[in-house]
Amino acid sequence: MLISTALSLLPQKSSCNNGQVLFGSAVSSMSNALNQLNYVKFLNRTNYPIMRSAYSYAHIVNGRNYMNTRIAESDGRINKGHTESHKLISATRLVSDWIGIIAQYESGTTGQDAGSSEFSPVIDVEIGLLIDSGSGYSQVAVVDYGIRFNSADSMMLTSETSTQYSQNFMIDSGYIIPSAVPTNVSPEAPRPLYIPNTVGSYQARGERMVFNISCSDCKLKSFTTFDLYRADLS
Amino acid sequence: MSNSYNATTILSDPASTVAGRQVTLSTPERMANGINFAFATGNCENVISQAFADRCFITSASSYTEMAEWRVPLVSLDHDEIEYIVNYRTHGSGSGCNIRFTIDVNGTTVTSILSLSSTTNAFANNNAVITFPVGNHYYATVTMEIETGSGAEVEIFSVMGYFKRIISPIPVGQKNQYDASTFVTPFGTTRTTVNNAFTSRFAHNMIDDIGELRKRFRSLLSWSGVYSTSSTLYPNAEDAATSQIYIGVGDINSLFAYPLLPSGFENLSFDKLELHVKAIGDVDFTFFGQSLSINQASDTTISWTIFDLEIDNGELSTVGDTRLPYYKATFDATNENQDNLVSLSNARSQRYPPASSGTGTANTIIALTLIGV
Repeated sequence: MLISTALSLLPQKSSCNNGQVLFGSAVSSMSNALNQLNYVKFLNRTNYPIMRSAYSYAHIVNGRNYMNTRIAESDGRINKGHTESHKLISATRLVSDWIGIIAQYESGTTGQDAGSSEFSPVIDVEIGLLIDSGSGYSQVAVVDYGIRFNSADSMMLTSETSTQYSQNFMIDSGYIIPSAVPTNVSPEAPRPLYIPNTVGSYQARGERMVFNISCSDCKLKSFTTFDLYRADLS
Repeated sequence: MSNSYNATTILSDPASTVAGRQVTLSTPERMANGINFAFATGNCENVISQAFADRCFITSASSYTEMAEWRVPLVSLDHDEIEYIVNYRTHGSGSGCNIRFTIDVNGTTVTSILSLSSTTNAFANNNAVITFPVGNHYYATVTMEIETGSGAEVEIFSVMGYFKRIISPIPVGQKNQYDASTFVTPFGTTRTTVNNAFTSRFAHNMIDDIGELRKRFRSLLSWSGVYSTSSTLYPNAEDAATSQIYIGVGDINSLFAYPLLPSGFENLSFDKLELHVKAIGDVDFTFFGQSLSINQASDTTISWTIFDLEIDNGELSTVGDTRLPYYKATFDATNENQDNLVSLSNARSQRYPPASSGTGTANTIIALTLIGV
């Protein structure tokens, strides 16, 4: 059945009073609005801004290196070979399955910039299952071995050196849901990530997931996840 | 009669009750199940989400020191348990390190302590159960403080918080979402498993419940400056001394959220999108197409201000890849922001805390949260 994204008008309550002839459309309207709640409004979302050091090498000369703020959208200061990793936690829904992601990042120079090596940015995203067995959360299983973004997937470079500023770029997993659940055991080309109902003996959906993100030759600036909307459900 | 729900049977078919179709119990049964599911689980997701890189969140504070503060939307006045999970590590001796979260709902506070003992990357978590004060409430303020033992330092990588869902079945009785005078009525699902009459009461409650649940807020962006970083183990200039405290011009177009604005959003007759801003003194700025002004008693006054944002339908969605009308809400590239947010030409000479007047720390934004229905 089709899931309407719109916040449609609800029936007049007086049309449902005792003694009224209740037409099916009133019930249909309620059902439609309820599906909008559960499959549109309450789709899970997680939005992580990733704070970074506000130190500025570029402004040591004018004494503005200790700004405690962001003076440009770029943080700069990235060197060839830079690596970093993040563990970002999401409380998922009992009906979460396919998850789209959007990430903001910043990388370095192209091979055309004199005196600098060409950067090869890569971002890997994997989902792990967190369980608190009484002594705190730990990852007990890999839920989806995930995806890899690299230059083949349009990760972009900038004319940036270790002391300059440039700009941020976006990548996303897309929304095309694969026809089969993933079986890869290492990161593959970008696609929506998948949470099965169970992983091994663990309940997965509705639990806390950790997005394990590894970056090389780039810096992660923000990371957003969306339960993917599907227009047709049965 | 049990107000139960089952996540596998919440999809009711709107086409099953139109003309020419025989009405059977399955649609009302699934509607009852679905409304219970929506009330119990809707928005039991992250209300705090923030991550930190580059050792920008590291502290050696010897007693509890405020590090960050967030506004969070409540789920309902029955969702009273919040859990905090922190990804962290300790440095040095690694002893005596704790985080204290305090949740404040209109002056009623509950604290929870997370003990930090790992010298490698690890998670810490704890819960807090709050008894909501009498009245109408839809948001809380969460403060994070850290203390460390002698010779120890704490480094934070990410912080999340969420309200736990109500486990099926929902306890009996009418439930308040935010307003103490209006109710969500859970449905007794055992009464919908037979072909009994479709009652007037069923329809009235269903319509009221859907209307209430449409008002439920979600956290779209939670950001706090990191206020009191310090480190002797990592004295480099780019580490603890330069955490981001103030919103600056670099946040224009790069610190953002994705509000969902579907058709019909503009016709909802309640607060739909709110920006909560913690500021020192006065700030005029532009966010999501709207010029906003914070006016406080003095330029060292620190408080939260709430803005009810109007929707500019002229804005174009920039994240069509999710197939829903998500819009990008951010600090706009306006002269107002370029002039008033912290920048090279509008620098602050001191770190907060404490607040100081003039170009010390005044007229700055030090935390903000965007919530929307």
